[in-house]
Amino acid sequence: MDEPRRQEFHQKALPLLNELYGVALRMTRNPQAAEDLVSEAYARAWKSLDQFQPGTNIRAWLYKILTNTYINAFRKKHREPEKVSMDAYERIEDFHFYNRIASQAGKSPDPFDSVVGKLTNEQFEKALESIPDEYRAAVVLYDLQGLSYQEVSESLEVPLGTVRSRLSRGRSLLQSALWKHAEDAGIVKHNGGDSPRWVKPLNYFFKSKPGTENVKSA
Amino acid sequence: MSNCDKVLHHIYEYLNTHDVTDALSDEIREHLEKCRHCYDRVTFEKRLLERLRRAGGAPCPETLKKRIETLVKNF
Ligand SMILES: [Zn+2]
Repeated sequence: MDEPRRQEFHQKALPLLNELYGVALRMTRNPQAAEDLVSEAYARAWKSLDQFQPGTNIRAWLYKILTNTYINAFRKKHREPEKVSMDAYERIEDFHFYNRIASQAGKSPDPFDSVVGKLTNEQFEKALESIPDEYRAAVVLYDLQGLSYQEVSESLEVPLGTVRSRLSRGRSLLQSALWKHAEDAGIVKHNGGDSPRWVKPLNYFFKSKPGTENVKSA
Repeated sequence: MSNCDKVLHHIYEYLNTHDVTDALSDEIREHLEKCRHCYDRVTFEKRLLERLRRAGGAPCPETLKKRIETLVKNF
């Protein structure tokens, strides 16, 4: 491999290592498997660097290699595709998490700080992990890493329509899992029916807290 | 489809920014300035995604960095 290519790879691909490792970790849910996956993906990228078109998006290209590697090697080896009960899915409406929070908080100033701000990193990761692989991968690539529909479609090797339906289901499952974590953590009250109740009076939740994030712009 | 339905239908595309035209993006932005209902939802989803992004902050292990560097050197 000639020196200019080595330079290009160093400059463009190596700085993405942290980011790709994070995505691999979320896909495999296992640090050792994530390392193996990233390592394999970089080896493939390096070998096929002459196929990379200079000036095109190297990040999307690496995601594609990473995800293809994951689907074709790791997933088959490690686990069978999971089936989500569509019954369970059909009961989850769009914006489930927001709706449930809003239905309790009414015209509260900030439902975000009151619930989302109280969930820990671990609870977020657990909620993500609870989504079946193919749905989680779509949500991670599109909603979290900001790839386009087309790029996700090429990464996951499925048609655009499938990308959209996986995103829709994945988000619903994620939001439902987040609500459940909020219940389990006692942030909102466990509830058997459709109208969850707060454990404490609303004003307890809506006091502004130092250290909680405060992004207001949409 | 009402304006509100349209915004909620495209909320994640709007946040992702790739799969909306400039015209649609402008239309949504203008609607958000006028509609508190949609503004609250979009803001909530946006912050939720930002929070999720931050939750997975495990840095790449040194062993992996070494593996990749060795790989590149040996080619
Ligand atoms: Zn609206």
